[in-house]
Amino acid sequence: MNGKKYAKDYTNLEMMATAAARQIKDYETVFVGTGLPMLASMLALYSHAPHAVILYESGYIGCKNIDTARIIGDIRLMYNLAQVTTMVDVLGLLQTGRIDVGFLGGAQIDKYGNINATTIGDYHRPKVRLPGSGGAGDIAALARRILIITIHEKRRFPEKVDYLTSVGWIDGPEGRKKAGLNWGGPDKVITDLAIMGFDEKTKQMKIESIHPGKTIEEVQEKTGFKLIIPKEIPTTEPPTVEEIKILREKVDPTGFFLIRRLKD
Amino acid sequence: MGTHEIEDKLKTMQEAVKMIPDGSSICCPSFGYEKVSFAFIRELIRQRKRNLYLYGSGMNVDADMLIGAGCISKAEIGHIGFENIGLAPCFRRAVQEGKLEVEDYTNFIMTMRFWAGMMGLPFIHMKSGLGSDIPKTVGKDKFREFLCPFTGEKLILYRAVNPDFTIIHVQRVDEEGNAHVDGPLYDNVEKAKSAKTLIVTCEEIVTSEFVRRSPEKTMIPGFLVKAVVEVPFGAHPYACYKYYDYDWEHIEYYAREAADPEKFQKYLEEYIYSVEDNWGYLKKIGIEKILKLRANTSLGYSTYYRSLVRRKI
Repeated sequence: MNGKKYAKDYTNLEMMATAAARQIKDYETVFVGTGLPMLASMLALYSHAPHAVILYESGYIGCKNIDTARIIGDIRLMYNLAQVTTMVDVLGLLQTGRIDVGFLGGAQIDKYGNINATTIGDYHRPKVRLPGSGGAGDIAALARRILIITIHEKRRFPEKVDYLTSVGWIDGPEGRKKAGLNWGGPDKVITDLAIMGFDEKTKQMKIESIHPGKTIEEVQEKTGFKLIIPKEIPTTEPPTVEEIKILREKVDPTGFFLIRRLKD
Repeated sequence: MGTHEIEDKLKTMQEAVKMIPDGSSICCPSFGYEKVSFAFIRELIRQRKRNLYLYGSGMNVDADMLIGAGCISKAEIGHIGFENIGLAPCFRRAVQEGKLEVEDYTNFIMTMRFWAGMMGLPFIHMKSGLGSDIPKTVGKDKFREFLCPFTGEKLILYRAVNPDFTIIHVQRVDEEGNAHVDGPLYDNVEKAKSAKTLIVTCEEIVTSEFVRRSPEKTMIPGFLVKAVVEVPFGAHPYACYKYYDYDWEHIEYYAREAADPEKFQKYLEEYIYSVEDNWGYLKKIGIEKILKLRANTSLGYSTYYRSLVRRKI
């Protein structure tokens, strides 16, 4: 076919990380949020995007760490680093529009790609109190485009988020403009089942490709709103042998992300 | 006139914490499980401070423990969570049970509110928050929608923050009280300089001659520092760059214990109430763990975690 050697033995999580990593292009500046974006961005850096500039709100710019960072302020990121700066400085880069990609996880994501990381239920007396925005609200508002990576579960994809922490398309194609945001917006949502994008006209979520072995029915079943389903949906390209090797041996050799979140 | 001599500033941890009256607003800069004055936080809990008003951006175990111990009645935050470990159990419980009032901002908004405070300005205007629910749930006296008089752009004004006390932890302080730091600064300078009173805890007291050889590492000049406490391994279970790593196992242990209110109380009893000071606490952690966490000189962190492979795939 294309001469690539595809892996036969890989987990759902590895499929998701690979699909997400491939969304990052070489030479892009990528502002990374906590969780799975940390895994996927390092895979991109160590595979097809060696010149990508990885930034963290903790002040790290140009990360090429050799030990797996477990949190976004991990001092492992200090090693082999281009610059360490302050939060004012690094978050200011976002506000000036100089960051290509914001890469986020999310507790709840709605059909317009808005993210909730604050409260489930009433804000003042919530059913579940989540951590709050952190830098995610800033990244979602101010990066040029947003990638979201999350496990595909119905509770994570409600029709409308309980609290709008991080702006997606807000309520449609004019939503961001009306709010005063002149650029940005969610581009792709990558899960363990599929890659989703946003319909050009309505800015509502649509299926773009389904991972090998998964079905459209399963994706829709595990989504709390009606997805836009195009007539032809390709299968996501599976991970290559090389990508899996990099993930397991270079990005996360101790299995911090790859083992603990395994839900196959 | 302020004092510029370390002899007048040097305090024991008990003395420094006694400076904080109940009801004060405090900020204990924290990011990335690193350079947090955790020994100070433990002493706040030990002295059973009440009704403190907590200001912070990205916070983790530090804020969770203070909240669980009943020290905090209100908090203005960017984030309180354990990132890849999970939710902050005491924070979650306190909010869900209506015992803690919270105002949510983003990390950037909080950082810039401290920046405004540091700059002697009453507010900061930003794009963060536009279109989100954040302006809908913060206090009405904390923000204003605003159109730029020059460009017409939509912006939000946020009130500056000036905590009564900020407590930072750094690697070194010299005889003049200069705070000398290795590694990331996060938003610690803004949090320190916006405070009405600044307390600095450190790994070691060094000579001014040493600091003056690398003044670019001085984060805060001594004349801004009110009190200094020397407390080795004072950031544990967090890291202190080039000195020691975070104690991930202890943090995970805390996360498990804190999930249960009774076990959380037992944790406080064991690691805080039953010991007199940070030396007593470190005895509980044990010499073996402390040596394992010691930073590798060529890396700035410990290689301990390389040997902890979860299991082969």
